[in-house]
Amino acid sequence: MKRSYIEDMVLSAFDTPFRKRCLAAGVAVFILYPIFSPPFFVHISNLVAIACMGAMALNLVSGTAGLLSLGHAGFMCAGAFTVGILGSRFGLPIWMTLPAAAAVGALLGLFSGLPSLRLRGIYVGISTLAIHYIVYYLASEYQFFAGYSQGIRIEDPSVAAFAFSGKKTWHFLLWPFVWLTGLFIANLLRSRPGRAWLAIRDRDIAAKVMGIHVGWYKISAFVVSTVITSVSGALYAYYTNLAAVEEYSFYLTISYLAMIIVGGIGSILGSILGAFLITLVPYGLIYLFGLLRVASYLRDYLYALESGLFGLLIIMFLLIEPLGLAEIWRRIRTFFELWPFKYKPLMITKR
Amino acid sequence: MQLLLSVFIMTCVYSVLASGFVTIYKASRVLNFAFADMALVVGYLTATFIRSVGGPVVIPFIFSFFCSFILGLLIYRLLIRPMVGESLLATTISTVALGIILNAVAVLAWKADIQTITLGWDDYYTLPGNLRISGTEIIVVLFTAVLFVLLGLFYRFSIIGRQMRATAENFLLSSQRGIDIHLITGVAWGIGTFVTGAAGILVGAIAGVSLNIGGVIIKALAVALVGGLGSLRGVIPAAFIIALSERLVNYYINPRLSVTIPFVIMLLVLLIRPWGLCGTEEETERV
Repeated sequence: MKRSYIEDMVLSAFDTPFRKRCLAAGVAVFILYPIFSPPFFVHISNLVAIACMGAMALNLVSGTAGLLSLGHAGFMCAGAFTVGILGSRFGLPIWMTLPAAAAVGALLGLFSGLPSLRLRGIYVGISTLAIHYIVYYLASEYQFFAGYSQGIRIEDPSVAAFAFSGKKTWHFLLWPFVWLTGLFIANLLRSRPGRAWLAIRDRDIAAKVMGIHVGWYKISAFVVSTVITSVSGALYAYYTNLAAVEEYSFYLTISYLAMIIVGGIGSILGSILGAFLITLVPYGLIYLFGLLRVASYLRDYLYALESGLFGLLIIMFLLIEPLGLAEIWRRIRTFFELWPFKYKPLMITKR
Repeated sequence: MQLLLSVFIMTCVYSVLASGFVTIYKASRVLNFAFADMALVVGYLTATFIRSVGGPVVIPFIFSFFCSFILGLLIYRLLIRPMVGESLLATTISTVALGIILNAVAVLAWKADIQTITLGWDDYYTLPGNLRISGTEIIVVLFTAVLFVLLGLFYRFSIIGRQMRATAENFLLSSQRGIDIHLITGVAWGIGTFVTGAAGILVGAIAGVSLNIGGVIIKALAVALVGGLGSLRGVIPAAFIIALSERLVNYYINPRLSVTIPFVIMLLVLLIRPWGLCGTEEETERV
């Protein structure tokens, strides 16, 4: 029972005993997973963690605030290259480069948010696409002229003589970051900025009439999202010890957009589910091909088949379940909640 | 002066590409991000037709024009029509996904080699002023001129063209007046795909069809935007501006910057005059 305003405002996700048990199970999985699984699987889980962060950020700006952002790979590239330049060239430690990457991301987000003040819908997307290409060009120029033909090599970061070098160590670093990001975004979404973003997404003229400062909230959506994206790009660069511009092509943006669409636009659960599915699809395909002993001629074109299936997956989800995996989960949950009754309650939360 | 001539040729190619883009945008309000891969597939198809059919060059072209029209109709029926009420993000992503699928099909079917398309006129001519122009390039220019004249006449004077303009302007009202909007939009997609495929053939004739032409083709997005997303008239001046700046930067400043310059120009246009050269201001509001 809640006895004060403070208790009412607290984000209570673990109130019932069942949820508390789920939390305990989750923590157990988090701690025991890297101990009991082969290093390759831990590597995959690290990649999923980074994808989760980026997907949550993209879901914030494109799903909740409704501002299509096609520059996601450019922002990650900016974070990665900031870390590469500052960490490798100037030798700054990680607790200085990560905030620097966040600051660069914020500047980029400010710049990307400016067209959205004047434009709407698809035009915002195109302007962020232009920014992506500009960042890509600047990064490739740096990589070319500074002589790193394959990308900037970054040392493992170390904080007070403890070096983050193993996959297990990164597992214990990345997933708390994901959790913090999720907490931050969940809190934002249920307070004033989140409501403002939802209002802007639905009808920005009406929001403006109601007194919401549309310009401030549009830019702040971009800035928050790009800060998180930059930091995730920086962490990715530190994890793979490499900042190479070829990884941050438009295809990366497409895969992040696929994550939020397949997972569910506008919800944190959707971003996480989508990040899991899309990151695991290439590995799953390789495993499947190995299992079925597919004709060897097909195996040469694995990449093309994989990307073709990827596109097909996106289209199937868009046609069959536009609200994504999160919606499927909600339907399953509603079915079990209402059982043995069949019909949904009158108040349908369609998000 | 040779520079200006190559700018002129590139203008023609870009304007054909961008007009395919604009046609589809006018019909369905959808940014067709799959146009680069559509052009790729049609280019490869044409190269295969030329090799297997032989004879005068016009016959494989007619085949591939026909095929690209059918492809456009299919894409409309299977992909765009089910997604009519969905959000903008979803429809854009579906065209991107379509592009990925087409790309994968192109790689799987044609093994991603470089293929050449010969237009059958391989002579080089020397014009006064010491310019060299090849027969292929002359065909490109002529084709662009004919295409634009035909498209303009079609939109202005034919019944289907009038219906297309009506559908583009007000979907609901034209359906209530008895226009079969599904057929019209399908035909618009067919024309858009056919034009994009034609542009793919042109690019293939100049530079050879390979997976790299995507980088050339993606600049058509910038051209369409600078010219105004809803207008065919703005495409040619916009194509000229983009081609000119690209070649100048390529020649005088930095070859790698020339890939980014169209996007910088596009960003500037979006910030200063979002509706492009010849678009209308309501276009940007009508999202």
